[in-house]
Amino acid sequence: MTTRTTKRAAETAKTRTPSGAARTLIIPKKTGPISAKRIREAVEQVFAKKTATRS
Amino acid sequence: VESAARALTQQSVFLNCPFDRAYRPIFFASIFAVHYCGFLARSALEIRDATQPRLHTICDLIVTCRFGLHDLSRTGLEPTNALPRFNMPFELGLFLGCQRFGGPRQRTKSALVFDREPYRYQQFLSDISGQDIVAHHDDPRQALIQIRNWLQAAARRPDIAGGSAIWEQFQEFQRDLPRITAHLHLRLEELTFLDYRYLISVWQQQRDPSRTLTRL
Repeated sequence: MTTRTTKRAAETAKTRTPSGAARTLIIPKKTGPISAKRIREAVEQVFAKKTATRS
Repeated sequence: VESAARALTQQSVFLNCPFDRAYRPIFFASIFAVHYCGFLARSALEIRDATQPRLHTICDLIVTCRFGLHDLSRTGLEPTNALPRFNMPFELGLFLGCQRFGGPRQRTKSALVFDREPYRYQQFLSDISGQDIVAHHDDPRQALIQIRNWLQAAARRPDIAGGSAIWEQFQEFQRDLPRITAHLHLRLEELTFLDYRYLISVWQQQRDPSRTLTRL
């Protein structure tokens, strides 16, 4: 069975990420007293643990 | 330089809301929603320049934000002195004045006004009838969903997920937050607005690496 996709549906699909989040994410240049590197590392460590727990 | 400044204005959402502890769940949900929808949350809390009068810096912030979220839910008598706090209605007035009397770019401004209960504002600020005023009932979930709906419509972005999906992701973020602050050797209340905003952006980037990044 073939699936037909209208032009409009195809355009809509192109603008969506798998999670449906807006494609653009703004990373602020202006940061607070905690260094951006420290925050990034802390978040990455939490995600690494989450991924390890799942697998 | 001008195009960068213009991009910053087009993507910026001015958060004119209370900063008290009880309001924090709504404040945090608002920042999360704004960033999830692809915008940059701005607040008077990011201003650290003590050499400028506060009013000047707030006006500069308003001019450089196309979108404005104004929460009037705390407009009432303070228990300590029986006086109302007028900062938020005042800054809403500045925003609407800028929209009304500013140049062509300022006229594209869009505002969402929050209050606790529907139509309560008519008792203290009836002049704003006709604006987009919605009640969040002091519920962070309601606030998050309303912000998402407003930004999606005002910025014409069909690619933003539904409010319930964003709320679920916010719940996941809140579960991760104590572990993140533990890595930073900080308590949640010690994070500044700028730290929290950056943390949310990085978390959302990790959560969905397929998103296109823009540094503003």
